[in-house]
Amino acid sequence: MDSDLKKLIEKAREGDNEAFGKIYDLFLSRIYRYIYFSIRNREAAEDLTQETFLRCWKNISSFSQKRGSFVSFLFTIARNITIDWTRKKKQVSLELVEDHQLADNIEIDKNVIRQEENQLLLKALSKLKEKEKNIIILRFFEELSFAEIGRIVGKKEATVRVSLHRILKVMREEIINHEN
Amino acid sequence: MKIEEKLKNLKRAYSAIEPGREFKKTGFLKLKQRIENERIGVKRAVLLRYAMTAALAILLIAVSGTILLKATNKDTNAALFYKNQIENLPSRIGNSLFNAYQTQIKTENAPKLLKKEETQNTPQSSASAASTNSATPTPNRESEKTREKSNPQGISAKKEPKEIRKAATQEKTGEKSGNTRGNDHRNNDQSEMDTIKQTLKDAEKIIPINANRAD
Repeated sequence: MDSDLKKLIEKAREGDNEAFGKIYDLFLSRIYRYIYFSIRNREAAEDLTQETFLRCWKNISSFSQKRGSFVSFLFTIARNITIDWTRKKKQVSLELVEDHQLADNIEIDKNVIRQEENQLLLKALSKLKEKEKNIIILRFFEELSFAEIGRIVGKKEATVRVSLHRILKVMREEIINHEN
Repeated sequence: MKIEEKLKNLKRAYSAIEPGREFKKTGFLKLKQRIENERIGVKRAVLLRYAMTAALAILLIAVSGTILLKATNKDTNAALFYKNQIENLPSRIGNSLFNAYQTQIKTENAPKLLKKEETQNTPQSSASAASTNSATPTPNRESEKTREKSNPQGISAKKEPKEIRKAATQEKTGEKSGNTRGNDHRNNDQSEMDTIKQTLKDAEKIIPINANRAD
């Protein structure tokens, strides 16, 4: 964690709204993306992002560097909020093609083969469990360390490594099956 | 192509996901507002909690205070009552004994006084009346007189039993008709007086009678 972020966190802890505003700006897109990718609902994603930052502000005094990075702290909140939301609403299917925004984003990619590959990957992802999906997103999209992922999903680092290996194997098989 | 590489490619699409412009613009302001509301809510909640605690404490103090006060008053009243009872007991006993003693003296002296009055009115029997009166103690007579002066109708009329008047009239009639009944009554009085004196002596052994208690 860089020193600027540390200072911002310290100021935010003391009740500095501006410092917290900077933290908000720094992490807004990442949190929104993560939530949106999980729930596939723009409005709900915006609300949940707000909720994540609100809960972060409430609990920032309890944040300790010893227990993990600020990123993992923030993503843990986002994950918990997303889980709560999905429990309330029914399980949201990961049929990404139906979602316009992501579909548009994928369409931007002019490479048709890559588009197809992405579709296959998304389908394979949709068949995974919530925890497994989270591990993939946090590792490949958010590029977090195994230790940080472990803190977010509540598992040991080694367990996350093993889990990721197994998940990738399942996905690979799924894609191969689909191709055949 | 390896699945890891494919996922990295998918990341490009993932990274393209951005919150709406409106949300980006107003998002933090709304959040700030919510934070302020939360702060106010927290303050209110804290204040409310303090107020509730204080009210509860006051109520408890008031209730326990009232109970304690009632209990103390009860105890004090009871204690005072019994204390007074105990303190007044000897004087009450003394008073009653003294009253009885006084009544007896009145009973004893009443006929003599009446006789004296009569002898004063009739000069022939003045000598005999004087001889009989000399036997009776003077302080009693004086006290009787002063009492009569201070309260000519009241106490003597009230407290003097009918027997005294009866005895007086008997005394009168006795003198006229041989004076036998008057002598009997005097003998009876003497014996009663002796009994009372004995009782008083016995009482004095138990409780020393103070002359001041007579008032």
